[in-house]
Amino acid sequence: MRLYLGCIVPLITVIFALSGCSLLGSENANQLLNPQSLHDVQGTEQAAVAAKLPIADYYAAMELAKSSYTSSNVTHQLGNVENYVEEGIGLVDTYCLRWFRLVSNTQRIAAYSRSNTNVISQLGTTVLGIADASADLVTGYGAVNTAISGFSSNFETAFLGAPTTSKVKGKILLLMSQEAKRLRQRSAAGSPKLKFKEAYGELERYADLCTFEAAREIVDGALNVSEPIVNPASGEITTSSFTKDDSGDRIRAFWKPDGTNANPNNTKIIKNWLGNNGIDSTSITYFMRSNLFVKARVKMVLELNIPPL
Amino acid sequence: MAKERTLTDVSAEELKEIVKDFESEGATVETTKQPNGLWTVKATWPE
Repeated sequence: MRLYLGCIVPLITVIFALSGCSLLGSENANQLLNPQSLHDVQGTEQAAVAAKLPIADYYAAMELAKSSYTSSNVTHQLGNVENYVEEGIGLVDTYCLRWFRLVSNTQRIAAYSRSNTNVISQLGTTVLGIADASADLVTGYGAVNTAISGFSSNFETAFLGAPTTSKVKGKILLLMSQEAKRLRQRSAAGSPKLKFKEAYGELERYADLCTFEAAREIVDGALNVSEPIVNPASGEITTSSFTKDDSGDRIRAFWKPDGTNANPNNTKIIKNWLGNNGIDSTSITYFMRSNLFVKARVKMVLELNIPPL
Repeated sequence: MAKERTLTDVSAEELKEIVKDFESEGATVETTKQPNGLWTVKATWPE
């Protein structure tokens, strides 16, 4: 019994620390992760009111657009639909930014929990005195440890992985700004009239751009690019992913001015430049089209003054 | 030792030009279709 009590106390401590009841479970957790949000439903009274403003404005605009549509069956009365689209875009943008902020914060909490788990697992086995503890207790401790470690790594797998979150966010916001521009043009006065229900559907499609599914697709697209493979004998990178870019096209036109045959003089210039810059000169084709040499190609174009196509 | 350079994820539209370019550099070229529909192009130069 004494052994059992002696073990259960540290076990509870472990669970307590890992369950978020420690530093990041405190009231100040959000302020530790990021500066105070300008508009925050959980912030001060004014911040909470401000946070709800786009929501209230959107539904007010929707009611106005909807009533003008049903009462007269016209689609552009007093710019109500245009205003509705504008408020919808604003609300979707707000929700999207808040979602990314939440994902980012949760990732950092998960990373914090994982690092604690590593420390505590090391300590835990010592404190518990694994060799003397009962088999049930050791199994229970292991299960808790595995569950918490699993949570933090699963979160990053399920979401976007901390290092790439800002890039995914940037890509999604770019897609959204392009789509918002198109939507605004569609709903603007003078354009073919956009009916309320069309605007409603368009806004739902717009909101779909900022979803987990869209983000996952961007991450998967990035992961599909093959990793470079290094030849262990020579240390050379012998396999990499194909990339076609403007610099590569310009170098090819310089190398093969007629599109088929290499110009011997220009071949020599290219090979010399590669050698002088410490770049593998085995193949101009490989240099021209590998994702490894994107920056080097830009440098070559500038330094050799290779003209645009 | 023979030298090898391999480009992965080559689209079908670009495949012909990449193969010709490698061949014009004296390489023997082997192409393989990837499960995702893109192509892998392996160029080999003799010792």
